[in-house]
Amino acid sequence: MIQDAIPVSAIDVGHHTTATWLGMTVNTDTIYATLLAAAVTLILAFILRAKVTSTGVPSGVQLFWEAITVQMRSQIQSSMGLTLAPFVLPLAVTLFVFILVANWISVLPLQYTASDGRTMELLKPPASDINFVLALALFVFVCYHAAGFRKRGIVGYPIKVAKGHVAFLAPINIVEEIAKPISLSLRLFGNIFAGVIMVGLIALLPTYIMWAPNAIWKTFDLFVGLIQAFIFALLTILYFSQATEDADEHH
Amino acid sequence: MMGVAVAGVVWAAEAEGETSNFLIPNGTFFFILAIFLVVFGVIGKFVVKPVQKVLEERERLLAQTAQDNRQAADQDAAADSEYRGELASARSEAGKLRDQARSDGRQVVDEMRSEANDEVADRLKQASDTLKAEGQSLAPSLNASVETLSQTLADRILGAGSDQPSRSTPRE
Repeated sequence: MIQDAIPVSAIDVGHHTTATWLGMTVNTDTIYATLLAAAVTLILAFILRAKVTSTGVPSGVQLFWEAITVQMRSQIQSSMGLTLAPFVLPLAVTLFVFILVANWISVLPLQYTASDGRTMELLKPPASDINFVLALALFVFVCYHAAGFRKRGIVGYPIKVAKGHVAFLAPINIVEEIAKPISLSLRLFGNIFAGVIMVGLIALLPTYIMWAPNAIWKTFDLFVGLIQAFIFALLTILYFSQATEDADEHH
Repeated sequence: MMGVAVAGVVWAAEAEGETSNFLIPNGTFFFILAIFLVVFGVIGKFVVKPVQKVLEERERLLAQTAQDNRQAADQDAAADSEYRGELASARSEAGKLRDQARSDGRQVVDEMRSEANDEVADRLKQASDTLKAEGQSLAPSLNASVETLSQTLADRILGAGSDQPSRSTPRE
């Protein structure tokens, strides 16, 4: 029994180092990792700001931002048109880059040994904390409903959301609407959290073989992080387009 | 086994001295939201706006270049057609001139030929007239001399006949 219990407790699911800030319990590891992701994103932004050019040869940073902006802009154009909600483009670009950087910082193999002897990851991906994904998903939820209210009015929009395209599907539509932020947040959370658990499981392997699955998994984790960041931004755009679409568009 | 696993997780949580569920959000939510809003603001203002401006500018330059290209091609085509038109008219004019020259030449040749024919006819007529006039002027004097000549001839025949009677007798 004890031999079973030791590896299970070694996986250490969902453990966070906590502190009390402003009277609230906060997960400091998540906040530090998020701050690092934000810092990387902001540095990239300020490098672009300093060297942006329209006639000269664009720098690598500018090409990076341009490629993402063009990609997101074409997604928005194909699903809703650029003029409906002008802040969707910056929101999508920010979500993509921020989540991408946040997911990718966990690839750094930085570990430390805690005071109780357990090996901890120094930088856990922020998306493996439910607070991170909920903050982003609820912000998106509020924003696209705000855009819907602005387009259709305080009464018209809830009716449109409940009715959808066919009136008798109203209960399903309401459930779907509630499910959107939950699925949006838990999809990202689940994928990244699973990556953390995988790293924990691989860490249980003997050291002489551990590097191989670890390298393979971290590589795959980079791909998962990219895909999840893209899906989060893409679904944000789709939710905005659903909230602001024209009623007669599909009849 | 399952019970052991659950007990392990619960132990891990209890080791922190709290019974918190990691799926329940806590104060971290607000800090993350604040960090995200700052990043959102900075990217919206310092990245997406300038990048969009750059993209628009580049599209404008591309459209400008395409329009310039089209204009240049139009001008080229116009110049080419003008050149061809000029060339064709010059060619037809040259042909006209050539035909004109040819017909002029033919006319000159014809004129010269008819002139020459006339001259030839004139000369012939003149020569025949002269001959006729000479013939006519010679005829009376010759006619006048016919008698004496015939007389002389006859005398000679006769005179010779007396010298050779055997030959002249049968004629008499």
